[in-house]
Amino acid sequence: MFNKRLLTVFLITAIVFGAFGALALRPAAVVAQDSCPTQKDSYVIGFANLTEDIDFTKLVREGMVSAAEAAGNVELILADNKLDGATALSNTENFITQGVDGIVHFQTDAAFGNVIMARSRAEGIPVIAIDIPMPGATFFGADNYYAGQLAGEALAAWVNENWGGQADAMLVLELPQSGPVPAARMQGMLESYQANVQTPVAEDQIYRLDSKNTQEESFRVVSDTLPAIPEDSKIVAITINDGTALGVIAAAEAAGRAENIIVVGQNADTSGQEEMIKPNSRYLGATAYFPEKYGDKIIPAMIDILECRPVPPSIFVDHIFISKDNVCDFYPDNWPEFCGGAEATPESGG
Amino acid sequence: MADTPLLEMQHISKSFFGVKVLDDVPLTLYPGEVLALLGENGAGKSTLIKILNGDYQRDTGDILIEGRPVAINEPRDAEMLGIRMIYQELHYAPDLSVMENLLVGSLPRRRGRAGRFFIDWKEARRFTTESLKLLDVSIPPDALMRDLTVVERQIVEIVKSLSREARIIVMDEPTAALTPPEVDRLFQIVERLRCQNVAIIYISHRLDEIFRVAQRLMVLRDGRHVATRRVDEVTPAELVELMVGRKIEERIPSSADSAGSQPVALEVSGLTKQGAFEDIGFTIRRGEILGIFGLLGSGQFNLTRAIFGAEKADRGIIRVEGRAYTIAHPQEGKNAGIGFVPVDRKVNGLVLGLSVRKNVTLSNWRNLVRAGFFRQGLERQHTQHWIEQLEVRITGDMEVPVRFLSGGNQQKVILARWLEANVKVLVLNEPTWGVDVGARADIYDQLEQLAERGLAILIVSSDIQEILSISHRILTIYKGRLTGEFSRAEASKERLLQAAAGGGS
Amino acid sequence: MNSLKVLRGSNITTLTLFASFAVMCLFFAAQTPFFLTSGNLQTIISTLAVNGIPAIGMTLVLITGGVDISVGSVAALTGVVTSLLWLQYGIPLGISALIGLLSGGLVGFINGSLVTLLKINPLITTLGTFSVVRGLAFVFSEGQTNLLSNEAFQFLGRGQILNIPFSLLCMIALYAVFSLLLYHTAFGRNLYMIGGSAEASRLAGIAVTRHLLVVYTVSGLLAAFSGLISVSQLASSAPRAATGLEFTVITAVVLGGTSMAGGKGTLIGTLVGVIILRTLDNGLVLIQVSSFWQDFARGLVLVLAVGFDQIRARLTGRMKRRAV
Repeated sequence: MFNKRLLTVFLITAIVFGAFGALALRPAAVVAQDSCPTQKDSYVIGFANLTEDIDFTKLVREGMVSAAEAAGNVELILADNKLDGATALSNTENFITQGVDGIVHFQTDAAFGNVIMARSRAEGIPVIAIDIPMPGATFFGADNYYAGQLAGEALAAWVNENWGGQADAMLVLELPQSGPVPAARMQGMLESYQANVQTPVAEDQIYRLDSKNTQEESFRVVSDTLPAIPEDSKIVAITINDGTALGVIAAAEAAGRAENIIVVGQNADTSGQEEMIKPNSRYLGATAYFPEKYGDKIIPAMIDILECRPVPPSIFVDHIFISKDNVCDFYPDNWPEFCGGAEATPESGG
Repeated sequence: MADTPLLEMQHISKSFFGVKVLDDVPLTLYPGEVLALLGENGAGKSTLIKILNGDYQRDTGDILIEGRPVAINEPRDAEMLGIRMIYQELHYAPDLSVMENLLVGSLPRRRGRAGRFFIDWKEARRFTTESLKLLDVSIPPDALMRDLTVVERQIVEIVKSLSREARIIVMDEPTAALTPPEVDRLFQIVERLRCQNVAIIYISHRLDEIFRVAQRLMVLRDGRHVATRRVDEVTPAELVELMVGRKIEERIPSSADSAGSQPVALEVSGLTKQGAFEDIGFTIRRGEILGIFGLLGSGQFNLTRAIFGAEKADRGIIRVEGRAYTIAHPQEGKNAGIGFVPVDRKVNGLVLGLSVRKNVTLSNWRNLVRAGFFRQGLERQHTQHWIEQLEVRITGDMEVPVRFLSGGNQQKVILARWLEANVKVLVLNEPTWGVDVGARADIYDQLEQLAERGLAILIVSSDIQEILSISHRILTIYKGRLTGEFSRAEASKERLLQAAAGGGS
Repeated sequence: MNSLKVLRGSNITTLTLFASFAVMCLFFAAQTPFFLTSGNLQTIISTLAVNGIPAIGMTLVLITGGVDISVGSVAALTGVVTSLLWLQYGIPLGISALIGLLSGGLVGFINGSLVTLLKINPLITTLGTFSVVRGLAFVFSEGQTNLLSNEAFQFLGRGQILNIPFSLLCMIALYAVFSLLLYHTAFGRNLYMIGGSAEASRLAGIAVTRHLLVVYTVSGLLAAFSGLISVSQLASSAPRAATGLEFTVITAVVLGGTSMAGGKGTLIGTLVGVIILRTLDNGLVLIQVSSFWQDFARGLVLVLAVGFDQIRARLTGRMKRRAV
C-alpha cells in the first residue's frame, strides 16, 4: 500500500516537471525558423541496419560507412534492427538520446513504421527509410517492379534465342510472408517475361511456390513439383533472390533435369555471381541492387534534407541485370580468373 | 545364529549442513537373521541405509563385510557386494515391461563373441517367470508396468531385489501397500531367504509385523543408537517407549455420545459409480468421526474422491448441512465446505517445494485479502496460528519447504490448509501412511479435538488398528458396497475384518 | 515375436500411423495423377534422409526424457565448417567433411556434459547451444553462402546405387543399426529405463551420465550428418541452413509415438513419422496448396494423430476396467 502511494506521488511529480520541461524547450525550437534551422557544419546521422546477418545488408552498411567518410562532415552512429520492429523502435530512442540530426532506417516491420515516425517527427528529426517505406519518411531503395522487369526481359530474350521462343512451364519462387516488396519483384519478372517472350507460358503451367527464403526449402518445393511437369519440358524459373535460385538449380540437377531449366533471380550477390559464371550454368543472371552503393546516394540525400534543399520523396537504386557477360564490368575483383582475359578458365572457387 | 557377523557398521556419523543426522551409530547383522530397524521418522534410519547403499557418504566410521573393511562409494559398489534395497517409494519405468524392470541394469546377454553384445530375451523371460514364481504370483513378463496394480508393481520391486544374488536385503516399509494375504506371502519369502543365510534389515512402522518377522531389533532415536535387543526380550509397549523416548498409553477413543444430538453435516444417499461403488448411503453428524474400513481396492478411494468432486459419480445425492450439491469438480466440493486429504499427500496434496506458509494458504488467499489487497502479515498470522494449534513441528520457520517435514507434520500442514478454508466436513484417506508411531497418536489427538469443535470427519483406512482407535462409528466397504455398520462398542477386529472381506455383519 | 515387442510401447500404435498414412496417400492419389508416379516417389525417398537421420538422434534423446533443439544449428554449422575448411584452407574435402561431422559431435558432447554434469535442463541447455551454434555459423561464414561443387561429394546427397538414393541407403543402415542398439542391447534398454525412471536406473547401478553423454553426442553427430547431406544436395552451404529443422524432426518423432516425457518410443514409429511428414509436404505442394496452409496441415496432422490416440487409449482403458 505504502509503495503504491509512493509510486503515485513520484509519477505525478514526474508528469508536472516533464510538462514544465517541455514548455521551456519548445520556444527554442521555433525561434530559428527563418533560415535553415537544421543546417550545421557537421552532422551526426544514425543508421540502423536491417540485420548484420545477411551479405546484402552488410554491403549496405559498408557503403554507408565509406560514403559518410567521403562526405567529410558526417559522423555515423551504427545500430542493428535485427529484423525486428521493436528493436528498431528502441534504436530510434537511442538515436534521439544520442542527439542525432538525421536517421536512416532499414527496418522490416510496417506496423512499427508509424510509431517510429511519430517519435522522430516529435523530435523534428528527418528519416530516410531503406527498401521498406515508412509514412512521412523519404524512401530510398529498390524499384522492385522495375528490377523484376529487367530480369523478366533478359529471361524472355534468352528463351527467344535458345528455345525457339517457348518454355513449357514456369516456376515462381516467391516469398509471400514478406508482403508487397518481393511481390512487386515477382510481378515485374512474370509480367515482363510473358510480354516479351514469343509464346507465353500457359496459365495452368505456372507453379507458384513458397521459397521461405532458404535454399533447402526452395530445393524441397521444386523437387516436389518437378514430378508434376513432364520429363522433357523446358522450364523457366523466376526467383526472389540468389539463394532461392541456387535451391532451384540444385533440385533440377538432383532430378537430372538441369539441361531443361533456366533461372533468373534478384540481388546478384557473390554466391549468385559465382553460380552464373560456372560453365554451362543454368543461372542466367540476376538484377543487381548494388547495396554497396546505397550509401553514395543516401548520405548526400540526408545532407540535402538537413540543409533544406529539395529532395524527391522517393529515390531509387540504379538497377542493372548482371549476367556472366557483364559481371566483369561491375565486379572484376571478385572473379580475377574468370575476368582475367582468357575465357577458358572454367574452374572457380577452388 | 552364526558367530561372525556378515555386516558390521561401526561408529557411523553423518552431518548435513552442520546438523548431525547420525552420531556414532553401530549396526551388526548376522547371516540368516532379520534385524528390524526402528525409530521415528527423522531418527536416521534412512540415512543409515543410504550410507550402506552408497547413496550417501559417511563422514566417519567403517563398514565391514565378513570382517573385511569395504569401500562403498556409490550404489554400484553396494550392488557388487550383494546388498539389495527395496525402497518404500517405487522407482520403475512405467512404459517398460515387467521383465525389463525386474532385470534393470543386469539384462542377460547372449553367448558367443558377437552375441554378448545383445540381450537374450528368451533367458530374460524365463528368468522373470521363475523369479515371480518365488512369490507365487503370475504376472506376464511382457506386461507393461503401467498396466499393473500398485500391489503388483511393489511385488515386482521386491522380486527384483530377491532375484539377484543377494546377501543383504534392506526392506523399507515393504508392506505399506500390501493386503494381509500378500503380507503373509512376503513373510514366507523372508523366511525362505533366511534359510538360505541371507541377512535382512527390515524397516517398518507396523510393530506387529516386527514381532512376527524379526529376530533382533535395533532402535535409533535422533540419530543415536538407543538399543539393540532380541525381539523376544521386549514387549510392544517397551518398544514404543524406546522409540519415542516416553510412554504412550493405549488409545481409547473419546466418547462420541454428544454427537448423537448434533445436526447432520454430511449426508450421502444412493451414490453410485459404475465399476467403482454402488448405492452408498450414510450420514455424519457434526462432531462425529466416521471410519470407513475396507481392504485396499474396495472402491473406498473412488468413493471419497466422488464425495469431494475429484471424480464424477453416475448418480446419487450429496447434502452438506442439508443443502444438496452436484459435486463434479473439486472446486465445487471445496465451496460446499468439504475438505479432502488424498492418499498420496506427496503427489496430490502438497506442493513439496513450496514453504509451509504457502502450502497452508494455497487456494485460501481469499481469507487473506483486506480491501482488495493481499496481506502477507495476515498470511503469516494465520499460518502461525495453525502451526501452534496443530503443533506442527518445523525445523526452522514457516518458510521451510514442506519436503523437509516429516510425514506426520506434512499431514498436519494439509489439515491446516482445510481448517484455514473453514470446511465443515473433512475427508481423510489413510491419514497415517508413512507416519511414525509418535506422530500418529498426535494426529489422532488433533482430529479428536477438531471433532469436539464441531467438525465432521470421515476417515478411510485399511489399517484396522487405526480405524478402531479413532472412529466413533465404523462402516465397512467391500467391492464398492457398504457391508456393515458398527458402533464403537460393537466393533472388534474380527467383526470388521469379516465384514470387510464380504462375510456380512 | 520381437517385432511385436518393437511395435508395443509406442504411444501411437504403429497401426494407427500406417492407417493414417494410407488414407493420406489415397487422398493425394485421388487429387493429382502425379502423386503416384515413379518420379515423385523417387523425389520423396531421395529427400527423406535430411530429416530422417537427425530424427534417430532425437528419438534417443526423447526416450531418455531429454530434448535436443540444437540440431538445426548443428547441421548449419557442419556445412559452414566443412565448406570453409575446403574453400579457404584447401583442406581435402573428405577431411573437411569429417571435421565438420566431428564439430557436430562436439556440440552434442557439450550438450550432454551440461545436461549431466551441471544438471541444466536439456531444453535450456540446447536452447543455449541452438543460439550459440547458429551464431558461430554466421561468424565463421561471415553471413555468406558458399558454393560447394564437387562431383564426389555430391554423391552423398544426389548419388544413387541401383536406382536407390545413396542418402536413403545411409539412412536405412542407420535405422537398422540403431534399432538393433535400442532393442537388443543393454545400452539401448537402459535408455528407456533412464527415461522411465532415472532414479531406478541410478539405484540399479546404470551409469546414467555416461549414457546421456553418448546419446547427446550421437544426436549431434547425426544432425551434422544431415547437414552434410543437405550441403551435398544443395551444392552450397549457408549459415541460415536447416532453420526450423528441430521442429520438423521433433514433430516427426512425436508423431511416431515417442513420448516427450521419456521412457517410450520406437524407431520404426519415428521412421513412419518422418515418411508421413515428408509425404504430406510433397502432396500439398503437388496439389498446389498455399504454403501457409501447408504449415497449418502439418500441425493439424500432429494434433489429430496424437489426440486420436489419446482417445483410443482412454476407450480401451475403460473397456479393460469394465472387463475386470
